[in-house]
Amino acid sequence: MPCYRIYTGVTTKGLVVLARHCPNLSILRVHLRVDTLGALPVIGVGSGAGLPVLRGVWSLTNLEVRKIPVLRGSAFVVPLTLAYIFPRMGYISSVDGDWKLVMDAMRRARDIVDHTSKEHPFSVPRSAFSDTLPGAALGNGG
Amino acid sequence: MNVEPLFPNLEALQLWRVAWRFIPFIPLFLSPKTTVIGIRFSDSDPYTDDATINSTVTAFPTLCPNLQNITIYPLPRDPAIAVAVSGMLLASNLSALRSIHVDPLLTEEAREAVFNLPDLRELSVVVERDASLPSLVLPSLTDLTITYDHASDWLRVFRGAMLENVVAFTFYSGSEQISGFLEEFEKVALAAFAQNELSRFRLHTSCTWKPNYSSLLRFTQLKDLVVEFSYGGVCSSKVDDDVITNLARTMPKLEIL
Repeated sequence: MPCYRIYTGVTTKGLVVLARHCPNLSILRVHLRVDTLGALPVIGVGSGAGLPVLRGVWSLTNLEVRKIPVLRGSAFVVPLTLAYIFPRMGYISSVDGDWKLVMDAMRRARDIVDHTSKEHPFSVPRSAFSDTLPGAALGNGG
Repeated sequence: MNVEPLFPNLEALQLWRVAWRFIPFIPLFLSPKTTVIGIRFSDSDPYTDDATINSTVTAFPTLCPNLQNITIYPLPRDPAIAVAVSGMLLASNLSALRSIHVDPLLTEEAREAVFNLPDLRELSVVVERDASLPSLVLPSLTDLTITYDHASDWLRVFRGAMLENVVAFTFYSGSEQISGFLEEFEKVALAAFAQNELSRFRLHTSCTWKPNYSSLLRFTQLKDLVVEFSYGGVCSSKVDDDVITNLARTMPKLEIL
């Protein structure tokens, strides 16, 4: 269960692994390392152009973060990372009010995506992505 | 006094976080067609008196002679309430009951009766150190919830038990000793159950500890996995990328984590 000032936690890399292996995940309640959610995973494979390769967890709708704080300066990039991994997330349960900004940003992003395309904006062949990639290749966390 | 039910065709009454002061009104909603009663009382509302609870609960079998599923919690740990809830169960048509989730420790007579219902599917059991615990012979049981307060007292539930079809376990531990729980559970499950069929495992404790999640990796069919713990009002999660990677790889059916 997530909470404040706990430094053990799941980074972006762990969330990506979940996305690859657990396509039916609908509710997630683990302690997140929010500091790693500020950047999309960077993958050193392929042509180098475009977004990293991932099939998001489309079934995940609920994320419980409880007391995990999200820095105001991150309230824009965190939703991008979360939307990338969990495209259909619709509810974040939190104590920190700034998560509402994250949720609002995700809704706006989804509205844009729904309006412009029926496709997941980040959908690319999953075969190019491996959860065995070294942590250094997955953004600034690990 | 007989009162006409407000909803004579109501089959299920589900009240979530209801205020205690609402209790006297509950019978108004029940009818002979009601087979499901689910009441979750509010944690924050001022507690009402025992007499009101007892008179309401004991009326259930009369008002609802076809009761199948009964859920009432949290109730105060009060002997008078335990007697009332036990009496309600014993006065019900026991063979029709499929689900019983009540949190007082039942009387010995009620425990003997409830723990031997061949068609019961779901059950909550309270384990108290000084109270006898008859063997659970429940061949149809699929969902078992255990509440206990001391050390490894929860293991008593499995002694002499016939629970081979249980696929969902929930534990509420009030014990200060929790280390080794997952290892013990793994042993019990391997010895007594079709562990590959286990679909739900939930453990709630207020202790801080370092769970050995590898003990759960045999349960590859898990859909619902919750290991929840907190200390000093905040949580002390030990799940990191290594843990989540192992869980994700071995439990691809996970829906709740």
